[in-house]
Amino acid sequence: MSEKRPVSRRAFLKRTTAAGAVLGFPTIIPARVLGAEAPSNRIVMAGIGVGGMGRGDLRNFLGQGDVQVVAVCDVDSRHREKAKAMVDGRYKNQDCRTYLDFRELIATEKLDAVHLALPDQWHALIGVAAARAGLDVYGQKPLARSVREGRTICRAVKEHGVVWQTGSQQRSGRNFRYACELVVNGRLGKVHKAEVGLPAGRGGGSTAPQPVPDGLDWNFWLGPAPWRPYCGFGPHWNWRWIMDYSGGQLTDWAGHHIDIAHWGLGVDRTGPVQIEGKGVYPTDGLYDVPTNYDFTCTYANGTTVQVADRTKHPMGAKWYGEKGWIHVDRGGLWAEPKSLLRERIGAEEIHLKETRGHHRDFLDCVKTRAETVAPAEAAHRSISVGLLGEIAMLTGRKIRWNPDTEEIHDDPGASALLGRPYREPWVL
Amino acid sequence: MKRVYAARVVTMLAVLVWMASWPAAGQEEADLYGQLKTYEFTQVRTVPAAIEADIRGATPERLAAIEARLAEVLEDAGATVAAKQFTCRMLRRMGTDRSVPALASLLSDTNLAHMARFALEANAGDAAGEALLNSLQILTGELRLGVVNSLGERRGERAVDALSRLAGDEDAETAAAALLALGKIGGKTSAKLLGKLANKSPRPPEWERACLDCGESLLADGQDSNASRLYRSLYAASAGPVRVAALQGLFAAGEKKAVASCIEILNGDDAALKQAVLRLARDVEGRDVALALIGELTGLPPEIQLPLVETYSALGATAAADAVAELSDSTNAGVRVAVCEALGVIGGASALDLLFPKAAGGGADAEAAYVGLTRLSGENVTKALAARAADEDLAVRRLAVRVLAARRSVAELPVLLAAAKDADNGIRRDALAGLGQLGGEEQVPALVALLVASDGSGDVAEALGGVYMRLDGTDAAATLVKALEGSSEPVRIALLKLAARKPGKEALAVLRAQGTEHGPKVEDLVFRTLCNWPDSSPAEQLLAVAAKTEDLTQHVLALRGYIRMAGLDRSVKMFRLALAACRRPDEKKLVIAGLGALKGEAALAPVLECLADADVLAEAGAVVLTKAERLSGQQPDVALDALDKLIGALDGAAEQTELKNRASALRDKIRPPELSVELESGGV
Repeated sequence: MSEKRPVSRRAFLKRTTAAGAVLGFPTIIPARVLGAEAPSNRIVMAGIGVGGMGRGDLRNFLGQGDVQVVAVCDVDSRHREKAKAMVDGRYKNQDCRTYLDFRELIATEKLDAVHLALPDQWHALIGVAAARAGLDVYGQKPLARSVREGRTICRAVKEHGVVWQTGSQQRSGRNFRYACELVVNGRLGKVHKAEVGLPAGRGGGSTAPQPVPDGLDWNFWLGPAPWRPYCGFGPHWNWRWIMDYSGGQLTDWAGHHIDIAHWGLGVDRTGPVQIEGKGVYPTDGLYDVPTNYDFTCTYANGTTVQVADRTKHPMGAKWYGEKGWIHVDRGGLWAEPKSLLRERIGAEEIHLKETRGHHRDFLDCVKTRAETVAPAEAAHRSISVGLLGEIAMLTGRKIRWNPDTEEIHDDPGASALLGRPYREPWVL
Repeated sequence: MKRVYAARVVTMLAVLVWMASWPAAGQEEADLYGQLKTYEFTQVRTVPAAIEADIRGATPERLAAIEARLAEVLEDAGATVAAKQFTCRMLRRMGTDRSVPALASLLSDTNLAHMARFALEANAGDAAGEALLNSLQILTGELRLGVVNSLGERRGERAVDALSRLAGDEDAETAAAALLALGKIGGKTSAKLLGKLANKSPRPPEWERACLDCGESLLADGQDSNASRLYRSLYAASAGPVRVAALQGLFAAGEKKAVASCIEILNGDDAALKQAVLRLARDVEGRDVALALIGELTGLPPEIQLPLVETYSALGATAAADAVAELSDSTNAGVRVAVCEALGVIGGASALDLLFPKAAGGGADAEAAYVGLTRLSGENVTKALAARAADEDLAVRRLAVRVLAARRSVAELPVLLAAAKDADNGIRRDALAGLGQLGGEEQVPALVALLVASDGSGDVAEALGGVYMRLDGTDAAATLVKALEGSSEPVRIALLKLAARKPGKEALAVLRAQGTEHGPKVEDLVFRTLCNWPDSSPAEQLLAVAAKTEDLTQHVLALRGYIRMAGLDRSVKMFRLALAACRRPDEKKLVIAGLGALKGEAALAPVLECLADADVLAEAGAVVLTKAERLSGQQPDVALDALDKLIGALDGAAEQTELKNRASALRDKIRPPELSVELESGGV
């Protein structure tokens, strides 16, 4: 038995918070919350991107007693107005301000934090702009549309000391946390493989051009992405089947189940060293993301993470080790032997962060300045797996990856896909 | 058969005709890339998808041929915008010097310039960089902005001169973009230019961003002093989040003055900057910041001392131990508590002299000092605590043993064994608790000896039990057998109780080996343990006792145990045997309830037989009704037969009218009365 008993980060943060509260330690509340600008001691927020997902987040934040939402921003006036109605309805006034341009919002409003729910091509530009302005960010996954963009977000978050919570809300789920704690504490013995099952993609999509709806600034919606005529998918769900804006279900769900697989393996601050696989791409219609995909990532210690759509793997994350397997998905938690699920995590073992809810965790961290349960770096490493898988499938080549320098070895063509050029005038 | 054959022939002919229509390889390619030229956004992606598939996994030779074909598309004035856009997209993945001229020609095309840049920006070759650079001379407005951005993304130092000129451009947007691009490219020249702008007023807001980017690239190149100079300018000229970033940069560059800045911040009023410094210190990567502040710790305000002390603890920074210890008598209670806990992690043996007297005191300090003592590590800690565990002063001995027991270190087991013989009850109890939590096979003989010496003391038995539970089945049984040899009755009872705590075949063998010569208490313990056994291993033995014993208590206990085991095994046969051994209606009711919990037709028969017993009619009837309801869907005949028997048994049982009505209703539901008549008359 070891004589050394290091203090867990969780216990450390808990004590820091408690002691800080007793002493009135100034770091637990952001300056602007304490200052005259926000005498009500509430976290002043705005929502950028308030379509369906954004309004879901907005609803969550409006339900928190210590939040004051003061503005919403969207390039589609229909979304803006719906979101404004929600905010005004909550506060029983007409005070919620609306913006089309996020730059104007950030420059004008005195905010503590923003929540972002945007098409993926916008994640980095707006996330970085918010972080550089010193705003804490609740950003929907995936963290970014390219590896380079993800790293830029991480850098901005670190440089400016802001709090970032990615919308990988499974990390706040009891089952997911428990499954990961079992794996990370060695209940499976040495883990040699993890399987990740994600939804399959979709082909088709109408190419027929349509008039741009009133109230939608189509050019702004495209932002840094290549120009193309409007054909109906824009501010709605179906943009995710087009590579200029998303990597499809693969990148949409990487922030969930790949993220959980990483959390359990304890590799959410690094990445694989080799990625290899194949995708099936649609040959007609508008959409161009893979309909089916299957790739394998190998990590420095030899562990593999196999990512595939659900036609090959069951949905969720499943770890295989010397002593059996554990599988977790939104529908439940399974193991072989079943007795693994009766295991308790001892006081001296690794306890992953437990939250009072994903949005709540963000707000708590805004106050304590502690790290969120789904910080930018972990989200970056999760989506990097999806993005590197995308590159391996697009090039049809085996990718050799350095997770420290985040560079691809000896493949300029593949390396070119690590970043995404921006349409003028946008620059990250 | 002939028809099938004819169909096959037709199919084969059709396939042959179709194959004959295939173009030769070159013709197919010509069609594919030729067709691309007329591709429109409004068309489905069949042609682009086929080209993507062609590119995927192509050999270098094949890629060269494809690139030439794609360049032709770009050079064709008649090719559509959609075709050229797609072509640029592909050249981003595979473009070389060969396609640069074709791409460069699009840089002034309002519709396609951005797509040409997509390909040129990603092309690492010098020709692509030159093409972008040359275009600066002819482009204006947003198109030029785009090229400036691309040059920044490419990070090519050859662009620095041109960008430096543009940084002074009259057009504010161009100047700002050039500054950002210079920041990304980094290097000494860029840094010099950015440094000069530090004192310019007004400065473009992009200057701050450019400095941060440039600073990072300088650090990556090992140019720490240049980076430091730039960060210093930025720190002096900025505020808020940018100043925070500049401070981090100063540390990363090894700037000694950064410590002074941190101290100034921590003693100042800017809460945001305080947060930033403390957060920086708390990060593992900010370890140097935390260490740099050690010398200043005692002079900082308590609300800063506290998180810093906790940071040192979290980082395991032993270098901070002395400075932290100096705060042990702080006037601030929170700081004192943090110090005691932190010293447990970073203090080592030298902290023991400080923490021990505090732990012997009272209040929050004592609790924290005790926690600290339980965490202390180092070679001499155990030795020092062992010495205190043998101290003449009872209070010192008590605290030392309590700490040793809580430390859960196997190295301390010999000390705890010695303390388990202490004259003081409390010390013995703490020592035994520690032994129970930590001890292994090696401690068993000593604990058995203690058990014998104490004639079966509960505390010793509990400690032995803790150890016993960690042994594997065979070792545990062997331990028991050995310890039981020649033991007194109380010791034997204490040892046999352990068997019940870890049931298994080895423990069962030990229990069964106990003869009557050890007295009625031992016999009774063994019997009761078997009655409560968690599986059916002793079932036969219990049934025999239940059937033969004249002692009613023994009969009841054995039969109840047996019935429970029949339920565990879901064995109808065992329930039947239990029924046969029943002496009282209450016992039969237990059996009926057990059968009621079993699924399937087999469990129904013995319950139906119980309907003849008036003492259990109500219980058996209720079970029959429930089972009939369950069987009615899949086995209606079985259900009807059971219900008929139940209704028949209830005839004349006035107190069971409700049960009878429910049974009749169910029977009618399964077999409606009219149908019953027909069935009876029709004989189906």
